[in-house]
Amino acid sequence: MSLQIDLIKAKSLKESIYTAILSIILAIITILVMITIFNFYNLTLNMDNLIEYGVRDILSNPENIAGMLYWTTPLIFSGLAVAIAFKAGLFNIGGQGQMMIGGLFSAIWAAEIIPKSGINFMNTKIFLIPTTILIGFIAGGIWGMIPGYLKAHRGAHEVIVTIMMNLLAINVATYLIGSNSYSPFLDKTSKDAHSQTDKISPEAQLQPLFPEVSSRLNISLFLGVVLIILIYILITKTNFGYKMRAVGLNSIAAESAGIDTKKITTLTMALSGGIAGLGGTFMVMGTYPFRYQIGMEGTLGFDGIAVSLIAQNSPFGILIAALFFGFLSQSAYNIDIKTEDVPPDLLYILQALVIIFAATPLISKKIISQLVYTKNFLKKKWNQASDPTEEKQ
Amino acid sequence: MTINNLKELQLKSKLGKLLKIPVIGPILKLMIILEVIVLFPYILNIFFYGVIYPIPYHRQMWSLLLSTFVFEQTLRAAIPILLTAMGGTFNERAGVINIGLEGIMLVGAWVGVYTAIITGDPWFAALMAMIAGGILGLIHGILSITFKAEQITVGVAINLFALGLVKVLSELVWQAQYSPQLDPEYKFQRLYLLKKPILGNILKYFTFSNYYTVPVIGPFLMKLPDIVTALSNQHILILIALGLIPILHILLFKTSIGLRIRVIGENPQAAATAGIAVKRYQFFAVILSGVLAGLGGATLSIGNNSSFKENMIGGRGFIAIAALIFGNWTIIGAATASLFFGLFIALNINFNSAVDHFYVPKPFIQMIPYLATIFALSGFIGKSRPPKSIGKPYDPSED
Repeated sequence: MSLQIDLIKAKSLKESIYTAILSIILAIITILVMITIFNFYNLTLNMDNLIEYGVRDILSNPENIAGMLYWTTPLIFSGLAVAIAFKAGLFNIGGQGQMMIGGLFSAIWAAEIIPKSGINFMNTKIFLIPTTILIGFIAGGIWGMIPGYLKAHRGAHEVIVTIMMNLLAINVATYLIGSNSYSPFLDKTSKDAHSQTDKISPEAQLQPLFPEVSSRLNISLFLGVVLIILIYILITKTNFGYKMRAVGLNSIAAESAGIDTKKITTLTMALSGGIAGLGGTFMVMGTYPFRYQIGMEGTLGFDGIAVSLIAQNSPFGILIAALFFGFLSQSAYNIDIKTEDVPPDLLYILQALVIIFAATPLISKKIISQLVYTKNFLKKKWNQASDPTEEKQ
Repeated sequence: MTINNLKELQLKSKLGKLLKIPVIGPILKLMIILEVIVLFPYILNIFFYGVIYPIPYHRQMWSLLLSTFVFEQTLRAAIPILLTAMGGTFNERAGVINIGLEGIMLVGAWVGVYTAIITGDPWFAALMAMIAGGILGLIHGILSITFKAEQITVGVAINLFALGLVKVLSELVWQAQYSPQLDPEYKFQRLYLLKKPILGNILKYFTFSNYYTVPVIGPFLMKLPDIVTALSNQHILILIALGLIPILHILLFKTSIGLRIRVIGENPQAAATAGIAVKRYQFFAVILSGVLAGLGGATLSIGNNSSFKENMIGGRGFIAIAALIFGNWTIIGAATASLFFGLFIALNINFNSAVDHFYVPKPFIQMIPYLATIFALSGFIGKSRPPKSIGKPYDPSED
């Protein structure tokens, strides 16, 4: 039960870019085939609307570009979380639960504990914003550390444990904010309170950067970019990052070289969980209702796997991949609002297909080798045609 | 070694001897497990309400545990999990890990309802759900066996794919995220075998309620769940699923096909050396798993319920994976674990109404299967060992 080394091994830049682009193209082709099959069974989609609201409107309307960047932010965090675990040979598919717990506890901190504590100096921007972020990081980190610890010390497979942690997270959230009868942190101010925390203190809310364009774009995107740079430095320039990569490539060799693999595994999963938790925290701090609602993260935690796969786990690749998936998310959002002829979930199918093709490097490898072969073959033919002397030789 | 430790050992050995007695042993084991199940909520309740009188609590809990309707609900809640978990056992025994069972169940549930609405024939609907599950299993197989993809990632992708597909299809077909309510004729109805003319008369002799008036054993039987009545009130898919347990157990552990599948999961290279067509058996296992998961989804949508909702699986596919781990990768183990998880679902419905002063919030009871799985995987409860080559694609060029 170990990760395939294929995913961790560094590839040449050209190869990874080809693989990424090919898997996106293959996914688009597959979804077009699916739409054709739907049409065959008279389940007709309005393709014009799909192109109009799914693509053209996104790229031309500044509000939609801001929306795309808004979706990019959590994807950067969940993608980084998956990628950093990959570097140490671990597969963190608990991003969903870690995001949930991070968002939930930072919302509880900023909405219930601090404003209702009555201590005024704590309810200020300068105290509340950093502590809220920290709480999200720690909560997500603990949620990630448990599978890491169990993997390192008890040999429990981290994939299954993180799945269980995802399900546990849902139950924790249901207990804390899900019910009228027993939940301690359920929003009690509004009458139709429904599985959400109270609104967080205004001091903890992140203000929009360009209020006239979009209310959803805030500083967290740039924090995400800074985090990408920090993670890049951590992985490539520090002692810890070196050890992490050593464990990822060959944990037995790392162990015999004197690296404490158990500690590295636990810490990497904690860091990974913390980063995913930050994604949830910034969603709470920067989005309109300014509260944690059950299910607000959708499948963003799982989409991080797609981001990380497309980016081939390189930190800067994650920025580009997150932009692409941010585009898809905004596209789905826009279709959902503006038109009724196209189901927005088509774009989730596209995301899943991208994951499938990116996780199957052999398909794109075969296609690439076929293309190279065809290219060489044509070149030969062309040379033969243009240079008649060659044929005689 | 201190005296205390020695005493403990003695106690353990006495208990161990008791547990080895043929008939009383298993019953005693079951009673100990059930007592743990009874005690755990009691301890939780201390945090939420306070200490309550243990004797009435015990009486109410045990009568709830051994009541016929809880047994009935347990079966109904457990069967979708059980079918999927048994399929997943085959899958993992062949060395392929499938996280996508949740998605396959979802598609199975959708296809079941859709076909039932179109054709009005639940049997045909169940068949189509199985075929749809099989196709998804085949896709998983092609990607992870033929193309050697990362199996876990493909599983996650299949979950997302299934969720998206089901939402799109519901939107296109029903213009909503849920299906219309099925006509009762179109779904698997409960059988109520005891009310059938001839069979009912025969079955009546096997029910406990027939002997309640008998002097000595009557009052005793009254305290036990009436198994035959509970079974005869279920719909047919549940009985089929229960019948599949021994069949699949024999297939995996008593036939050459099963032996080959298990060898492949442990060491595919050795299996290939012995002349076994590794990939063919892996495909068989993966498709069988998909078929069973599809049927599990259909059980939920056209058996237990009569409509489709996009969140109707609600993690049951993951609980099935938990069950097969808890069952230590055996069919009987997976089935037992599924039944226990089903028992928790059934108890959770009835706890608050049946037991006085019981205020443990429902999420805490729901957490128990997941926590138990984490403990089992970490080696705190029993020992669970996965097949050795699980998750690794078979590559003939490796040695």
